[in-house]
Amino acid sequence: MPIFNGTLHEIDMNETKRYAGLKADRPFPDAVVAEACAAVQVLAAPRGIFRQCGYDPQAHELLCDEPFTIEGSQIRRHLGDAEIAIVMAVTIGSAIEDEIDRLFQTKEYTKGLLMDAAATTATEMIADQLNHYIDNITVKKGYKTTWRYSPGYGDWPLSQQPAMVRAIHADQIGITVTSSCMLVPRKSVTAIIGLKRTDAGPCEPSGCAGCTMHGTCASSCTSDS
Amino acid sequence: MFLLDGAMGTLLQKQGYLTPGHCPELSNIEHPEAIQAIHRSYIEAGSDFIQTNSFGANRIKLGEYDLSHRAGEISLAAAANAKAACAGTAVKVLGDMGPTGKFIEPLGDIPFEDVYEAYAEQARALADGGADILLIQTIIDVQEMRAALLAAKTIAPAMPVMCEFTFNEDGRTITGTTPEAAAILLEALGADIIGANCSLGPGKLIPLIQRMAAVTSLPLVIQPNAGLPKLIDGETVFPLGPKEMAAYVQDMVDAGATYIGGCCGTSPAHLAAMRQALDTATATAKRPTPDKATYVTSRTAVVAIGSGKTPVIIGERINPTGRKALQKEIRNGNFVPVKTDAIRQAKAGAKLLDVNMGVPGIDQSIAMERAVREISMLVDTPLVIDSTDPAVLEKALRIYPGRALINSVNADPEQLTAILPIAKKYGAAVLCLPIGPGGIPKTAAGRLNLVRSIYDTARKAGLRHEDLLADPLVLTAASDGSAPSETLRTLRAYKSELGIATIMGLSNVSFGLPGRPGLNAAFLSMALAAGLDAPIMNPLQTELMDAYRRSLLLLGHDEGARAYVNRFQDLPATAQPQDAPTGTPLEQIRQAVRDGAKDSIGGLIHNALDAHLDPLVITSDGLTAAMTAIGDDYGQGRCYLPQVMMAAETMQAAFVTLKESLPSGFAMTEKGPFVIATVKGDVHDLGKNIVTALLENNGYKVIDLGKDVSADTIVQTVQESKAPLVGLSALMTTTMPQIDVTIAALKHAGSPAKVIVGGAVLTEEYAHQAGADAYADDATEAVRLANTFIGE
Repeated sequence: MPIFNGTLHEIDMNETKRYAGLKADRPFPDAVVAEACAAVQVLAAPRGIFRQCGYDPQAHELLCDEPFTIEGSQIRRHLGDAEIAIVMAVTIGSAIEDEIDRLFQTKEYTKGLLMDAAATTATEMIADQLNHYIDNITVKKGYKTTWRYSPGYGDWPLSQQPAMVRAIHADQIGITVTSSCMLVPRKSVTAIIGLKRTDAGPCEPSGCAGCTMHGTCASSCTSDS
Repeated sequence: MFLLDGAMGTLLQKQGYLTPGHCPELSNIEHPEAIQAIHRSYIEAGSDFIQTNSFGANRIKLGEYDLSHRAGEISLAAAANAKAACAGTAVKVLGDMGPTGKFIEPLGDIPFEDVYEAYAEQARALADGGADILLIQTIIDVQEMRAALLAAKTIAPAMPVMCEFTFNEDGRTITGTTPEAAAILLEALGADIIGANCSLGPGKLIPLIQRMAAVTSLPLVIQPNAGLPKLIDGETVFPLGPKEMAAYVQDMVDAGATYIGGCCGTSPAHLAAMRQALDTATATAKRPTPDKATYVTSRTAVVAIGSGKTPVIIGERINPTGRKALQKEIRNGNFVPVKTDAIRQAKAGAKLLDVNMGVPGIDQSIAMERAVREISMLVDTPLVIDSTDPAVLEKALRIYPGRALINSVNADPEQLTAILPIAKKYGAAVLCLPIGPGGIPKTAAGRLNLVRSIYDTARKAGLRHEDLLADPLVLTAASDGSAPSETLRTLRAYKSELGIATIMGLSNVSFGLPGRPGLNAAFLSMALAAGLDAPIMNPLQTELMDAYRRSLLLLGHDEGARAYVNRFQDLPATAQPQDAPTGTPLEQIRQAVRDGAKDSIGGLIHNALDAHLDPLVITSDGLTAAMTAIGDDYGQGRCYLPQVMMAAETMQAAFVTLKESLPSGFAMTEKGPFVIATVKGDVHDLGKNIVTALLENNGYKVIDLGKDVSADTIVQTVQESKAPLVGLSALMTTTMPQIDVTIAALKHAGSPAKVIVGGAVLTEEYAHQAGADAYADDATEAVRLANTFIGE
């Protein structure tokens, strides 16, 4: 199970503002955002792990240690005829959550709120770095990767999160899953990436268009929502 | 100019020796004749060097085949095969060491020493088997390269080492190292031939070699892939054929490469074509001469000091000397302040960070190692290791992922004997201090002499001119009025007599005097004009930073005055505070809450109290009115949650002031209590925390039960506290049913409390069917509903 933890040299302030519900064009004291980002950088413990498994596109079965069938028409369409899948997980650890709790108790609400947003940004960054590394090693072998897809996206039921966590052996980087299918630490992500041959057709476009929350999401960047 | 060889794996596969799950390097032992035949096919094609079939034969990679225990045996056999194939020719053997497949801590999970040992074992076997040059190739992270190169140089010091990184399309390794950073590090560490292989085709790889050529005089090697592969009918196909690869050879030579080969997708036919091209290629015109600046690197950044480069700031804050609080934290193993200092200084403009772990009573080498490891994951600024203890330097330099600077050595022969070899081994640059047996010489001439003697000793120890820097030392103006100008004289002497890069701290000059920041700033400007290349200073001090920026402009280091204008043009002639004092005290208070001005609200509350306003009126008409207004704005999308939070914090600050100012104490009648919780199974609480914050600032006593709270606990708390209001939060579809369960339990217990529910997935409809009394789609709505329910 290859480990690649990534580095957090910088937490994007605009992304942090976006996750905190601030529209980029509105003024807000940057110093407060910068402090929250720096605090997350210091407390984060980035970890990343991934595993390569076979995938049966006819049966939609992920051929990991405990094979399971992937449910959901969108994820199935997304994986298409891929015969190899890479499952990955990242986390930035739990120290940040503890600090956010403490901040709300001492009534430093703004910093707490912004740290939560910065932590989400940081988690996505680490996921991006691991994703980038995975893309790199697969391109060398002539594959093209799909963008990463997590349980809960589209119509991929969250109830498959425990199976994913087991498939990735995410416990090796300290990730567990509750009986209600939530990842602990909270700022963690699991995802699947399908590997397609380079002469295959184009992959589905990524981004917000395929998400069920499209149009109502507070974190959307588009000006129309 | 020399021709290397091409791919081994593809040929092994074509000949049927590579079945899935079969270790390619094991063929050295199982089919030596096949391996030797492949080597000979490259020799016949015209290769001057052949690579042993030992790419994955380090014990860590061999672990994938359960063959770790045979690592030495396999590499020995690989070298022997290559040697046998070369018999009777002038062809030389490159002992090939490829990646371990893992990342070194903390980027990955394998300790540096494990990787070092694996490469040491492999280097020993390849050397024993007769390799002429050790080749470390296809490396994607500096730490792995460092481990391998250190191992090679330690195990086989007389054997030349060739080092190749693998870069991506963006011109960096996967972990962010540029060709320049790679070349500077490799040359400092003693590599003999450097370059790049794999991943990219010749078109994309050649420019990267060119970039290396600009910063090093070392011979360069290039081994591109035959283009970018495609998977066709289950086979990996590389597009460039022999003629196409050969067509790039002249460009490779022009870029500065004198060792040329091919990586994935190349074959003896490719190399034969390249041989022809190489034989008729015209040797390049002179390589560019790298400048004589001192280069320090991190994993991802390169910083130049001296030789006319723009002066750069070394951040001084990570130093526990005289900082009792910081000493305590470090002693307790809490490195949060150290890491925070690192980030702040880097953001404020420090291009390097000095790291000093001089805390009495702890193992400083362990502390330094940890500081270096953690800081290098947080910022891309190269580090200055501030210690004169050889044990500390050894530990820190061993794991530093780049080329560091040692602060410092002085003229004490024992110290030089201990530290210079460490600097040479780890390729570190060294700052020389003019301190001798008689202390610090008073005159510039005296200091120059001491530095010159250190410089000569260092050069004899194998360090290059550009590895050495000098500090003129600064004594306080308070005790000796001529000391500062002597320091400036020393700086000038260093430049004119030694041509050496200079570093200097600032704060000593003003010790014992008033107005320290201003004095330090003035001295900084003078020192920069006298030839200071890198001040060690506090980049968080505005006065110092402004002096730095002004000096850079005045000394011609700020093209188009861009940085200067950027800093100074927005300074208003007169300060314009947002809360200009207009309006009644209550109006001002409302505005302050609206603006989140929690620092100024205290003063405004005092104004209002001085104007004999009733505290309850201040609260209702000044504070609560403002919170309600901002809540409305938030509901209407006219402002955003962080602004609401800042307003809430401002309210809090106001209450604190009210409580402190009133002799009889200040107590608002507390509404509620309001019991709030995130339901069982759900661990999200941000939304709940925000509601709690707003309720508290609207006069409610809130009993916050936290997250993952069972229905029973909620019922019990509600009954015991006689709370009229309950708030339940759930974030996911999987935990929503607990809302129903909790409400049912409350009803079953006969509780008259009103239940408000909220959470991203909840809807009005769901709330209704679950039996809730209301649904709040945001925090301010929750407050409004609460007020309605209790009849406000």
